[in-house]
Amino acid sequence: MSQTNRHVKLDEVWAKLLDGINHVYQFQGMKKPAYMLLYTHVYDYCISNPNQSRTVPGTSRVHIGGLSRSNGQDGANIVGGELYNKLKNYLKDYLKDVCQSGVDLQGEGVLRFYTNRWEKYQFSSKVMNDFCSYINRHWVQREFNSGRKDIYEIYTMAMDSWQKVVFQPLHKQVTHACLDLIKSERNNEIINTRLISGVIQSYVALGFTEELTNSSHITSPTLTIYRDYFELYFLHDTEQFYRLEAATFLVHNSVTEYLKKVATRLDEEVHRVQSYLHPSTLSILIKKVEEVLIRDQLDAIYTEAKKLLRDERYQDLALLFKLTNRIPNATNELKKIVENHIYEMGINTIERVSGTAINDPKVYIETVIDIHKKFLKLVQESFNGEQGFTAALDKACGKFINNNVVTQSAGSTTKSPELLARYCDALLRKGSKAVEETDLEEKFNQIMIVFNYIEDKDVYQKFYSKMLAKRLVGQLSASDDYEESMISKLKQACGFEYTSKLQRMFQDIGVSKTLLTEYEKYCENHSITDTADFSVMVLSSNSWPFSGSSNFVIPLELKSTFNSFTEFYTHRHNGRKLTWLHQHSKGELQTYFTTQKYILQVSTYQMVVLLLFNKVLTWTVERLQDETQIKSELLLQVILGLLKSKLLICTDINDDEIDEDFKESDIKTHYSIRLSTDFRSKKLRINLNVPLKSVEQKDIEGVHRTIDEDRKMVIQAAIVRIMKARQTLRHALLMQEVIQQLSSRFRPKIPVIKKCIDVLIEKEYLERQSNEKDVLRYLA
Amino acid sequence: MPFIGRDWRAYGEQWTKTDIGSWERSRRLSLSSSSINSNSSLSDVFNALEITDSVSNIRRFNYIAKVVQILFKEKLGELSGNAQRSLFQVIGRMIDMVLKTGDNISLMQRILTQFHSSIKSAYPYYYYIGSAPLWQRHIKMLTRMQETIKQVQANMTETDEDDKDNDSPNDNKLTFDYLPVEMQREVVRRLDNGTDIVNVGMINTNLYRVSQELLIWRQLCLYHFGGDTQNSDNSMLGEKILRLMRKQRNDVDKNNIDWKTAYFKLKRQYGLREVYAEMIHQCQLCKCLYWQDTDHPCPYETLSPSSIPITPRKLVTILV
Amino acid sequence: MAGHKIKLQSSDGDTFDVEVEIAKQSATIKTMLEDLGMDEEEDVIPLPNVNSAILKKVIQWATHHKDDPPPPEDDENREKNTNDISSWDQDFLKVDQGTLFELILAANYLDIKGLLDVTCKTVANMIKGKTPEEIRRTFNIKNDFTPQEEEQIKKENEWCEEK
Repeated sequence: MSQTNRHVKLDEVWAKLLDGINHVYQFQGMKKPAYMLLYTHVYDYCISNPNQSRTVPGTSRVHIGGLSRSNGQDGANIVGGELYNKLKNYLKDYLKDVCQSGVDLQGEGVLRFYTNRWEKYQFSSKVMNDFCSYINRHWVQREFNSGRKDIYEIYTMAMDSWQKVVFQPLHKQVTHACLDLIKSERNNEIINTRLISGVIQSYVALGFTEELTNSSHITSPTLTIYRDYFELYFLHDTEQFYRLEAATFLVHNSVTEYLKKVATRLDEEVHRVQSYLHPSTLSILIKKVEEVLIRDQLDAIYTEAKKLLRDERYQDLALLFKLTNRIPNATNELKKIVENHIYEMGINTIERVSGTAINDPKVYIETVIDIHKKFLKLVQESFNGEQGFTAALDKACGKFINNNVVTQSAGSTTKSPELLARYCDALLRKGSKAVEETDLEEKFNQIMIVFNYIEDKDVYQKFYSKMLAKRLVGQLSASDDYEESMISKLKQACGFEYTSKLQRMFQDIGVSKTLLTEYEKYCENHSITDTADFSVMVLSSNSWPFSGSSNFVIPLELKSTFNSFTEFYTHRHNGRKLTWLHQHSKGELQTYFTTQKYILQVSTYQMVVLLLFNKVLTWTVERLQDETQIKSELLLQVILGLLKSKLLICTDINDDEIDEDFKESDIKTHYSIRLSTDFRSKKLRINLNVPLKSVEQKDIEGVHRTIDEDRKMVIQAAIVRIMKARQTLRHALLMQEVIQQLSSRFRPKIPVIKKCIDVLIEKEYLERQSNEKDVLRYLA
Repeated sequence: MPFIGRDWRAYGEQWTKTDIGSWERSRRLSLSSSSINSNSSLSDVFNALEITDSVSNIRRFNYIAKVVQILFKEKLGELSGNAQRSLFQVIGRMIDMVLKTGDNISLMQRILTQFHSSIKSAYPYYYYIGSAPLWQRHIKMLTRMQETIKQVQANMTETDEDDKDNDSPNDNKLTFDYLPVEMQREVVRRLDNGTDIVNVGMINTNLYRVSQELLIWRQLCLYHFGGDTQNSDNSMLGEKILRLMRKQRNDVDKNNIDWKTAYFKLKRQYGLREVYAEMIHQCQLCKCLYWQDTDHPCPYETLSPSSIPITPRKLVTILV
Repeated sequence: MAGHKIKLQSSDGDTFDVEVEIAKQSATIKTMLEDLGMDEEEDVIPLPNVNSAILKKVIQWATHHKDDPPPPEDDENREKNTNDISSWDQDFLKVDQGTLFELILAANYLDIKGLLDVTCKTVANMIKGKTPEEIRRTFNIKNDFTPQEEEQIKKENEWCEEK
């Protein structure tokens, strides 16, 4: 480098630069050598520091001593400021001309003008910025770091100039023209979107100047210009446009048609932002459109929802939900509507079938299952399976399943669990029609769905265990696997405790089988041969819903069997008490008094009565009673059954008197009963052991009756459990905990709980705290 | 050294004769040559970490100089013979380096002066490990070194006067003074010690002006006393600077601080930040020492490796 | 673009073929190529402020550093760590003072941040720990203060180092 280049004066360098700058701002191409030359001019000018050498005349001596403290004035002089100002003035003059030629334009004309000039200006300024970058690197950098906020990099300064000289006078007509174009597009006209995107790009690029904070870089963009001069007006226009559209469209079209339109509009607006607006506008624009088109029309939409539910137009509902879901909290009302609808449909459907359903578990339960299935489908298809709607479904199902015409006419909410248990029984019994295993599994799952809605799960448990007991004792189960599968499902739903008895029942059956083989061995070992061929089940009295039955005098024929087993058992399990459940026992007799030998399947009671006829052929009823010691009520039932089978004949009545209307009470104690020696039947194997309808019915009623008493015990147990753990507890909190603990079994009624607490106080399990009557204390 | 009977050198170890005639154990450093266990002796560590050779790497020079300074000032009495020898080798190499580059002369001078006074203060009781003649030899060598350095300094201030008259007219070469002021700024901005900046300002009028720039002093203050992030934002000034500003209530305007005055006040109060281009690191797993830039073949490499930088002072406490 | 070359011309008229990726370490050249594009026809880019000897060295430096990661943001801190010069750069800068300053000028002109940094650090290291007079000797600078001025500056700075 030569020293002479060092002192380049401003005017000289400006003369050299001006040509190039004009060139650039007239948008003529530039070659690399020319560019490099311009860069070098700026560089040479800047490094020629007038303070560098004392030989330059007119430079003042250094001020030694006392530091000059004003910003930018201290330290060595860095060149660049004067050239910077010259560039700034050049741009101002240049832009004034630009503005002048655009000021009278309107509409697309002004857009075409603005975007065109802007794009070129932007590019030119970038080129100028780059060949003047030496000023940026040193002078601008130091000024900026020293805290001057009105100095930018040259490119930014150029943007600033455009903002002040071109944008300020023109922005009204430019923005207006943009909004007009957008409106045309919303009215389905095709527009040149490039014009708008050009303007938007310009507004965004101009946003740097405002609010420059200390920490931000020199050209950090903010969106203030875009927001204040475009977005604000745009949103206002949008609101007006759609408000009008909503009003006019709904006059001539259904709400569903309207919603389809809204969906399209929303898509269009998303596309609009993506294709030519700034992405930051998306959320705020969509929110605005949603407010105008959806939120403000919610009433109409809710009404439509009810109609669509009635008409089962699930697809339209899905759209309705999708749109409503965009508005915060708006679906709450929708959930209520759905819940009510499901509830009403449930109530109505059950009412329609109630005539048969009240005594037909299959009709009842399958109706319930169908309703649930149908609306689960609705929730999944139309409401996306959303949690709130699943909850609405659950609430509605819970309501109509536990309380409907059937339960009302039965007079209690416990009807549903009863019917459900009976439905299970039917499925699990031998000869059930649902043979297919997969089918049955599916049915079990459906049962569990209904089960979960049942409030009185304890009632179900009672019925279920009763029926299970019968199936097990009577060996009526279709399959052990099915039984176990069902029990494990219940266990999953309600926990171990709920099914523990059921499981123990199951176990007893297994244990009895091994017991029996052991007994056979025992007989062999002790050479006991005079026993009847028999089997026995030993059931633990805690687990089984059976109570001891009326006893009778054991006939001679069975005596040794009875005795040997009792001896065997008490020998094995010292201290255990065996109670014979005669009402569940049965046996087979063979007739020898007939020419054809028949096998009679009979209950133990029947057997006892029949065996007496081995001694004498005719007995009075009174004598039968004396001999057997069977309760007369039961005895009469037995005799009636045998009379009806024609195996016994009452000599005091005519045969034809024994018809459907003939009752036990019609049998008098002095009547004589005779064995029908000429008994005849088409079947060789005759089943006389038919359970009496009346007994079954009584059983069911019995369960319902005992439920309240049982519950009191359960509640009391729960209270004691809780109080033992807590020692003292407030009344209200105790209630709450009791309800919570028992909710998986049944819903305890508050007055009942209160009563139970009183009972426990009386029994001195609890006391009221003397100073605070509200607080209960546990007494050990 | 003649001896009869059992070899005084420990049994089972291999000893070699060194170039100065003494014996030493051959080094059996199990790890690679570039890292060493921190339990080893100072001379072993110096050897393994190639301290002597590292003197000629300016990335390591300052670190080593600091270690040497601390050793001379505080630990001279505790150094074994081998350690002393290692240290002298390092010093010798440092002086070579100073002679070659002309840099760090005053630092070297300070080190030697420190050494000298440490020895002198003990005279005539050479309580250091080693014989009296050995230490007299040391002192002799030291004096020689100091003279060499003085000679260099003298050259700098004297001989140039003649050279300049010869050089300047025909040698059209660029000098520091003729660099554009932006470039002089760039150089001054890279000085991390205010005293150096003041000294630059005393060279001539141009550089005086450069050295008086508030922005330069502001950045220097932020560098040494600022917050964690070196940001130009005022809120990042850091607690030390803000406390000083609060003390000078008469001058609370943030934009109007005399940063040069502030620098020297803060320096007196807090001392300067020490920064080394490269430091010795210690592996947290195997406790090995190694230069930051070298690879550390950790025996526990399966675990995630982590290491901490060891300051010169910490290194001295580990070694002596 | 790998291997694509451009021609750089030094102040004494020599032309150098340089890979674009290497040349782009000069921010000046990089922005120019961005602004004007890479034409088919190859312009020779004149660098009127750099002579052949220095340009050669600059290209050598840039070639060695072409795969360097971009420098981290907090250069405020790295700038003052003047010993932080890679050993390659240390060897590269073992040159006479004139060349060193020419390299500073070239790095500044071409806007090569990394080269400017190591060269300025090298100069800063020559200043560190020296008295003003020693610095003058080192750089061959004349003292142009009047005795009164010199006295005043000394006084002004006296308090700086007092304990």
